[in-house]
Amino acid sequence: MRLKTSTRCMGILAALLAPVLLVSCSGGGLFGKAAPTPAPVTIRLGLLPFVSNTVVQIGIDEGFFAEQGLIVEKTIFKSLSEVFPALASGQIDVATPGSIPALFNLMASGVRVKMVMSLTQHVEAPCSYVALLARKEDVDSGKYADLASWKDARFMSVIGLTGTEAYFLSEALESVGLTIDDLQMEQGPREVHAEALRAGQVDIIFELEPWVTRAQSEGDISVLAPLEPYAPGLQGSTIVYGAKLLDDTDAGTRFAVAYLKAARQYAQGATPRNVEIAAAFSGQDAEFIKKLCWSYVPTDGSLNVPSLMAYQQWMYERGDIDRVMKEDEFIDVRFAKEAVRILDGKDE
Amino acid sequence: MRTRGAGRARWLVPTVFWVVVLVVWEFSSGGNVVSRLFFPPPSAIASTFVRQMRNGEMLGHLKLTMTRLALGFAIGGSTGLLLGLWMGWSRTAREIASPVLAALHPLPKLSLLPLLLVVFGLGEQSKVVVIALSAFFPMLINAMAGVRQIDDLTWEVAEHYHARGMTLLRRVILPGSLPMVLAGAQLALNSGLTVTVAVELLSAQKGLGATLWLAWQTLRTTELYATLFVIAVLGVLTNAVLGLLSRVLIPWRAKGEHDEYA
Repeated sequence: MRLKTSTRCMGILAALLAPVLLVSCSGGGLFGKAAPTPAPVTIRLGLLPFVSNTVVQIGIDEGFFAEQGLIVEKTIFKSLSEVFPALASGQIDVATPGSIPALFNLMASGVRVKMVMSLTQHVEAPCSYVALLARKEDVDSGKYADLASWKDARFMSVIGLTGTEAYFLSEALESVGLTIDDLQMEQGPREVHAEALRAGQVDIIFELEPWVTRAQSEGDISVLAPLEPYAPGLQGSTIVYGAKLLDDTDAGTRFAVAYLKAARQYAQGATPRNVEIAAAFSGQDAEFIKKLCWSYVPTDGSLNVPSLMAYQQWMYERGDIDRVMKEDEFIDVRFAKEAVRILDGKDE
Repeated sequence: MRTRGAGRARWLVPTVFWVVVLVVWEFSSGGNVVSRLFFPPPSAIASTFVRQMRNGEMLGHLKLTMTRLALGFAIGGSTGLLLGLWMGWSRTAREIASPVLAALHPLPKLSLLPLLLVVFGLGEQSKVVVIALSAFFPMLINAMAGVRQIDDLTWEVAEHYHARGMTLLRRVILPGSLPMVLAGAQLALNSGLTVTVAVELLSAQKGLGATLWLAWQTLRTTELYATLFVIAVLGVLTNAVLGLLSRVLIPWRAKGEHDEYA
C-alpha cells in the first residue's frame, strides 16, 4: 500500500520536483504519511544496576527503542571497571557511566568513545540525591555544621579520594581553606556505611540515592549537608557512544530520540508506571522507590559542559587523569540536538 | 658434559619462549590487533614498575599487603593446623566438627566482609579475619588428611610403645602428617594472598589490591600490570619459601617432590 502511494506520488510530480519528492515521499512529510519503518539496527547496551539507569529501562519497556527500529541487547554490569573494556573493544555500543577518572582517561587515550547526552546532573532540589549524612544527634546539635570541623571527623565513602565524591567534598572544603587530603577518609562498601555510622566507627558518610533514603529510614541518621550546592549541575553520569553509533549518525540519532522520550517520561517523577519500571529494574520495593529523591535528567539531553571542564581540570590537578581534553575531543552533541529537533517537531 | 647441556636446554627453551612473547607483545601493542590501552607494551609496564619502586609507593603497598597476609595466615593457618590435627587423630572431634566445617567451607569468605566490617570495625581486624578464614580451611583439611593417612602399622607401633600426648604428637602425628600439612600451607597461603588482594580491592585505601582498584578507577593499565606483576612475584616467592621449608623439614622426601612448592 505504501509502495503504491509512493509510486503514484512520484509519477505525478517527478518531472517538476524530483529531488524534493524523493525526500518528501520517503519521509512522508508532504502528505502526512507515517515515516517508513527504519531498517532495524541492533544496539548493545551496557547498563549499571542503579536507579538512575531506569531512564534507559523506560525506553526499553515502553517500546521507545523498538519504535525507532532499534533492537536493544542489554547487559547489566556490576561495576564500571567492567564497562570500559567492553565499550572500548566494541562489545557494547552505548553505556551509562558515572564521571570517574577512568572514563576521561579512556576518551583521552584515543579510543572512539564520546559523551553524547546527559544522564544525571546534580542540581539543587527540594530533596537531595547526593549528600553527607551523620548521626541525628550530631546533626541536631550542629556538631559538624561548621565545615572547618570536618577536619576532625572520620568520613566514609565507597571510592575514597577520587571521582565526583571527592570533587564535591573538595569544592565544599575550599570555602574553609581545607582540602580533601585534610580529611580522615575510610573506604568501604556502601552496605556498611550506615552501620559504621551508628556504631561510631565513622562520623560522616557520603551517600547517593537510594542509600540516602535507606540510611535515614530508621530515624537515627539525618542529612548533614546536601552536596549539590557545592558543585551545582555537576554531570554525574552520561550516555556515551562507542565507535559504532558515533559513526552511524542515523542509528545514533534514533537511539537519542528514544532515550529522550524515555527521559521525558522519567522526568514526570514517581508515577505508578515509572515506579513499576524502576522497581523491576533495580530490584527494590515499589514503596521504597516512591520515597526516593529522583535524580535530575535533562529532557533535552544537554550536557553541563562547564561542570565537566571544571571537574576535568580538578582531576588533572589531583593527578587522576593524564590530560585535560578540549570539549570536542570527548563530547558530541549532534545526536541530542537532532533528536530534540525531531521530537519537538513532532510534539508541535 | 651431557648433564650440563641438558640443564642449559631446560632453561633455554622457556627463556627463549618468554622473550619471544614479550617482543611480540612489545611490537604489537598499539597496532590494530592489540589495544595499547588495555595491553600496554612491556617496556611501559616496566617503566611504571621502576618508577613506583623508586618512589617507594609500591614498596609501601607491598609491605601492607604482606603484613595482612602474614597475620591472616598465622591466625587462620595455625588454628586450622591445630584443629585439623585434632580432627585427624580423634574420631569424636571429627564427628562433631565435620558437618559444621563442611557447611562453612564452601561459603565465599568475601561475602562475609560487610558483616565482619560491622562486627570487627573498619580497621585491620576485619580484613585480617577474612584472610584468616580463607587460610583456615585448606590448612585444616590437609592437616586432618595428613593424620588420617598415617598407616595403621605406625599407630600400632606407637600404641605398643605406649606413646601418648606430646610424645605421640611429636613422634607420630607431626612427622607423619607434615607433607600434607605443608601442602595445606601452600594452599592456605595462595588462598590467603588471593583474598588479601580481593579484600583490599573492596575496602582498603592502601595495599596492592587498593592499587589495582585505583588503576581501574583511573584506567591506568600500566599501573595495573605493574601491580599484578608484583602480586605474581609475591606468589612465586611464598611458594619458594615453602619449598625451602619442605626441604629442611622433610628431607626424606624424594628430591623432585619438593619442586611442587617452587
